[in-house]
Amino acid sequence: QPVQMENPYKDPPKRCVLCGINVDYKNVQLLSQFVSPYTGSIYGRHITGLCNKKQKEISKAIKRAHVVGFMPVMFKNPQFLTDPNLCNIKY
Amino acid sequence: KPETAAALKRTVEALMERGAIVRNLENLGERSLPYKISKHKERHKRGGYFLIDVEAPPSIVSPMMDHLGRDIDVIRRAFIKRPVAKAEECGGIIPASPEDKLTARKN
Repeated sequence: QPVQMENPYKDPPKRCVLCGINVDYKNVQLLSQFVSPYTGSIYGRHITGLCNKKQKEISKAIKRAHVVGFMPVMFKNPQFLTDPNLCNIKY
Repeated sequence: KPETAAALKRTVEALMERGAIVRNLENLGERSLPYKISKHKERHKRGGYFLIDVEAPPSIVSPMMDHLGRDIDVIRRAFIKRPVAKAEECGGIIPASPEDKLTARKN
């Protein structure tokens, strides 16, 4: 008789890029990776590929960094232009 | 530099006067601001960033913002809640079941 059990061949749940990383409004480098270098606008969920929680946290942190003067608003900080690309965006 | 030290001292004293416990004071460095900020009839391009860890009653916030607003050495002020180190429970992206998608409400 077949034994009922959970699928043992199940993949572990897919993790987004920031799963487990603490998001802070102070590390401008991390925040700038999710911002367009030309306009400085925050990328949407379909581009960054982050889970719900992390996308919200990032966007809140970016807006906070704008207000308190940590991160530029209209463009990406040129220091961080050569960072590895996390978002699947094609210009 | 002695001006920044004096400004910091003034701020910390004002905080302690109103009954706040200063836990920590960090210097996040002096760098050029991300955008030019005009404050107190001056256009600023460089500034020093300081982070003061404070434990205080919430009634302190408005008078302190007032006080810091009048201080010419302070360009931008903000009170931010200290982020509590929450448990790392990020269990990855759980794919939404089709039933959820049927009854889902756009929020």
